[in-house]
Amino acid sequence: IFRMESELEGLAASLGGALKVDENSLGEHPRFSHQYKNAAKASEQQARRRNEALDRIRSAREDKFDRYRQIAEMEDEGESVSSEEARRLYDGALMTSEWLIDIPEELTQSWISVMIPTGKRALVIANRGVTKVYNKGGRLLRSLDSRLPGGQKGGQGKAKGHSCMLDCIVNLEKLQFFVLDVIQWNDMTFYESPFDLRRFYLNSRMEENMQLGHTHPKSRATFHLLPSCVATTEAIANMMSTSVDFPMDGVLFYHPEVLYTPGQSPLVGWLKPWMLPEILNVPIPEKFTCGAPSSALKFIEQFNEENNFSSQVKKNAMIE
Amino acid sequence: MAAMLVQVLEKTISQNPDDQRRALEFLEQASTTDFCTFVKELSVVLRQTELQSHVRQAAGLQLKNVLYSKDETTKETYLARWLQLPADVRSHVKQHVTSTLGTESFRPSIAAQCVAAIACAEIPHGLWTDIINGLMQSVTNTASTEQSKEASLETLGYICQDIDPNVLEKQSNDILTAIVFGMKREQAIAVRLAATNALLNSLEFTRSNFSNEAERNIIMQVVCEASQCGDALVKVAALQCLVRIMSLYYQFMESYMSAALFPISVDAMRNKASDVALQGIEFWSNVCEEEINLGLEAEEAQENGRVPEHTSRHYAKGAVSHLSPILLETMADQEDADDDDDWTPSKAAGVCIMLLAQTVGNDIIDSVLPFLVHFSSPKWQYREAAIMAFGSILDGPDPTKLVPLVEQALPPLINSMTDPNVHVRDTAAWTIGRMCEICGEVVTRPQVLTTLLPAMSASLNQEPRVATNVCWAIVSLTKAAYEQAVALGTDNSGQPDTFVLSACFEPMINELIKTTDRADSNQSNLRLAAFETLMELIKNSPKDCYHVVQQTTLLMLKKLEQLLDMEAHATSASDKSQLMDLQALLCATLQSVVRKMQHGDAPKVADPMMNGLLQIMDRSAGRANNVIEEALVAVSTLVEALKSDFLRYVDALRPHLLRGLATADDTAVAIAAVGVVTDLCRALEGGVTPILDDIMGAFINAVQNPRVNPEVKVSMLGAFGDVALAIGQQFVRYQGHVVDLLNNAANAAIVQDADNVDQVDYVDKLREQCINAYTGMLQGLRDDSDSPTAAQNTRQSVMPFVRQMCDLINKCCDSTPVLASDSLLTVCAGLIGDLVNIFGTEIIQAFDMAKVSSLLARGRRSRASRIKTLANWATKEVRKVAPQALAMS
Repeated sequence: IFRMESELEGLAASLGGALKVDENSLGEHPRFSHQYKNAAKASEQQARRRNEALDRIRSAREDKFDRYRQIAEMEDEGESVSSEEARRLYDGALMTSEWLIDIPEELTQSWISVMIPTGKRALVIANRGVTKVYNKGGRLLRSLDSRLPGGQKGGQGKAKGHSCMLDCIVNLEKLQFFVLDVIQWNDMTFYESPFDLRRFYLNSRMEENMQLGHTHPKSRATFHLLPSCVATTEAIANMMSTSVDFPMDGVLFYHPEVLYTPGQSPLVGWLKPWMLPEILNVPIPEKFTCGAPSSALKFIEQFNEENNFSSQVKKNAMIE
Repeated sequence: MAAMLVQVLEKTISQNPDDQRRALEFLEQASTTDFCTFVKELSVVLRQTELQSHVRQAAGLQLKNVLYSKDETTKETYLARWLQLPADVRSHVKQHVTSTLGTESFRPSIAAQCVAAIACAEIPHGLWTDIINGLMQSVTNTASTEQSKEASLETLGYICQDIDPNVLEKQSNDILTAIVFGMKREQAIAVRLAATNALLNSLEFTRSNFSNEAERNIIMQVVCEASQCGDALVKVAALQCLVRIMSLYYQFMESYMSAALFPISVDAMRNKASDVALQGIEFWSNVCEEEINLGLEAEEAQENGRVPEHTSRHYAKGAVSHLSPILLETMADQEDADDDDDWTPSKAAGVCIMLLAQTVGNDIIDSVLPFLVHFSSPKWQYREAAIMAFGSILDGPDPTKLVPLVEQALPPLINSMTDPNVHVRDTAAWTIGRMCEICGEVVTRPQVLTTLLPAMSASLNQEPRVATNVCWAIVSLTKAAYEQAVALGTDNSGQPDTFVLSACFEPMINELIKTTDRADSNQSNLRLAAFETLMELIKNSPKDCYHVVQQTTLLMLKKLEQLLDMEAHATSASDKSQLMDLQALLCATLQSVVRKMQHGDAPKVADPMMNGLLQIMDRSAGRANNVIEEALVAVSTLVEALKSDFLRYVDALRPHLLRGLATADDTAVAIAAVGVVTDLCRALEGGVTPILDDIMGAFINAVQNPRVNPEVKVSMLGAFGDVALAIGQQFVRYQGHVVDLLNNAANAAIVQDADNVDQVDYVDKLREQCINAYTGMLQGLRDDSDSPTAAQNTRQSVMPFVRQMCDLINKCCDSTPVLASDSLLTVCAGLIGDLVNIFGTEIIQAFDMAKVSSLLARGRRSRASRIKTLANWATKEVRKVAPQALAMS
């Protein structure tokens, strides 16, 4: 009998896993492992980290895809954009410059130079009755009323088809916006237009809408054009000697045919005022030279190294 | 054969391993040489009452084992093998096993398992349809013996448990008739138990019976009666039925609630027997979860201006004042010796209070407040329960109600961190963590921090279980502080300059690092918690703590080096495995520091870091462990930080990357390797070309390898797009092959069963990644130059796979058998827009415009902004070239 019992035990053991049994009776109770105190914390935390890594890859891919799609038009439909969405849509959406070192030959014949005040570079989007100011990284800096089309509560501001997207330098304390470039104005988008056409269009709109330059009971924001000229030595020298009521940061040089492409463009160049004599042989007023480093090229080299910044042109050359 | 078979079967349970092995080999051979005779003979042995029980049982077990396996694929081949048997063989076996029911003297009946296994094989194929009725007859037949009723009900229970519910819906009447008959008071206890267990398994497919009031009344009556049975097993099974009925048929329970369900559940909660009390508590935890979901449904309906389909009856709100006192007393009813992992009524009651708080909000406060006097009880059980109760109600009530309570409770709670009893300290640490998570505004006040931080720091040195809870509390505290600082405004880096923890940030990091070094940190998940906390601190550190990030980086690199040395000398397997775990955690920590690193710093640590990571991958190659996964993810973050400067490591990385991609048995490793490829493509663009032939080869092999997990294949399909985008025109050399693969994958992935969530999800993900691949290819081939023929060039390059793209889009837009998921819809809209943008009106006729229109319309209505944005954009692109094409939507 004893032997028989032990055999039955063995058999019972092999039957144990026979058909499924109530899961709750096996191992830990699901409420214990999911809801009791911190029992689930470690695995949640690890899962979250893993998902964050995958999300990063996914959103980077989405960003890349969307670069080729015209975000201005997407905005135009008047959908409100969440801050996270904005980060993804607008991070790197502005066209940025490189140091102007290798001087293109046609520079003095056709490029356009624009005086740039100190301030933050900003993407300004007026739409559905509100004007939003984003930084280069797509972070919302300010949300305000403005008299840009679509930029103000009430009136025609909220009407469909009124919207606007500008590339600006902003002084956030004074709410002064210096418009560098136009990306969209009402139902027109300018990604596919050359810079000279955009500049012309921008000038006309600003002239038509003189009120943009002045404050208003409902809005402290003002919008201004910046002095610009064709980049001949004389014209630049002339421009630099005019007096302006903003602190000067530098000069941007645009190729007249550069389309509006998000990211760093080799067709947009940048120099500090004191570099003009050394690089372009342009004479400048003394106020720009005091306290300046001795060599522009050395400065640029050092700057690039410190900021881990490299020219798009050089990068491509290196890869090829 | 029969006599011999009996002998062999006896040996299968022999104590002598050799005998047993030989017996099993014999059976194995018998089953392969003549399967027909084998199964027939087994059924004969099982049926013979004159044979010894254990021989019959062994025969039954062998018979069941040729029909059932835990492994799904083996099970399918078994079922197919069974169905291929001649009908007369099958009916011979069936006749013997069914007539065995009720003749066995042992429990559980093996014949019941055999009948159920055969029924589960045959019924879905329309065979043996009369078995259910037969089983019902043998339960209700007055001439049936008790054993026969019990075995038949057990059989029904097994069948209900394993079969697809849809198959049995038509026969639910027969099943319920048998069950209700068996559950009646006058039946023997064993019969009632078998019937109640069968009911538990059949509840899923008896919806039609529950919808019928008369039938429902009968079922509820027998279940409620059974819940009052004197036999504990029957009682618990009946209570389990009530718990499940409550979640499945909440909407029908109104008339039973106050008269029956409430008193029964409360009575069970008060029961001294743990099993019974647990079911009583579970009943109300379940009600709460149900009502929380109904609350969410109502909110959603309101937002969309709809009337919700189901409404909450607010049973929890009505019952909270009665339930809370019982639950709180139950929480205090605990022993010092309670095993930490045991599921006890005390723990269950704590979870139930937490769910009640989430369900009823402010109403929980009045019921729990009086119990908090026990914060200073002389009995540790009451102190622990009071603190636990307080921690449990923090999520639910309005913050305005909670803040004064939290302010008041903080000082005594901080004191409790030094309580003589470890259970109390453990719970106090957990509760402080909950406060940090939910009431960040209070805990980050400087005057609170001056007492809280030293208490936390001291408790970090306590028992591992306490220290682990302190770690999680630090995570919540840091997150709260960081979020507050971000809310005050940041510059364009998105990071605040400073935060309230800046002054003590460095010591916090140092103490955590010390904690990771504790000799007992392998207990209670402490080491893992300490590392994860370290990572969260790094992630949530403001600018003025950056030097700590730098120091931590250097320290981690040093530790990594030391570990690699130690591993080289470690001999025991457990030492090695601990070291591997540590390496994985170090890799994860490196990911977090690199992600935080400022421009210019990443290149400085790149050499030692890559060196360490490469060594880790060298040593761990081929071992099942998450080290390689974490190391590969760390490589990914480094690629992202270094951008094109990563180029110099590509050669050294290549073998590890390829090995990762070829890992068939570890999904996480392969997916991490695919992530590295994606990051390399983005960072290096054309620079990735030299290793691409190898990578593409690895992708193509893996996608075609049946052993590779589908999830890996899907991520590789998407990565084709990243490669294409990186190298543009050069992708043409892979294009033919890739298009074939994408085509095959998309054609093979079809939803056959719309109710199969996993299948639907898989098909969606696969299509999404195919679309991503095409999008990358298409955008990579775009001619963006100013050339007047640019548009024409693009059209020409894309032409070879336009048809495939359109076919896939049409497939995704098809709303039958299931609608595309949101993420599939988004990528689809994107590709539609791209195609229309490139080809203009001529592409429209390749689309099934009715379906495309309705997909885009769905996207435009979505509340998720990215879906909406892309659907709007695509719609605009279509409208530009073919306004009439959208008219029908």
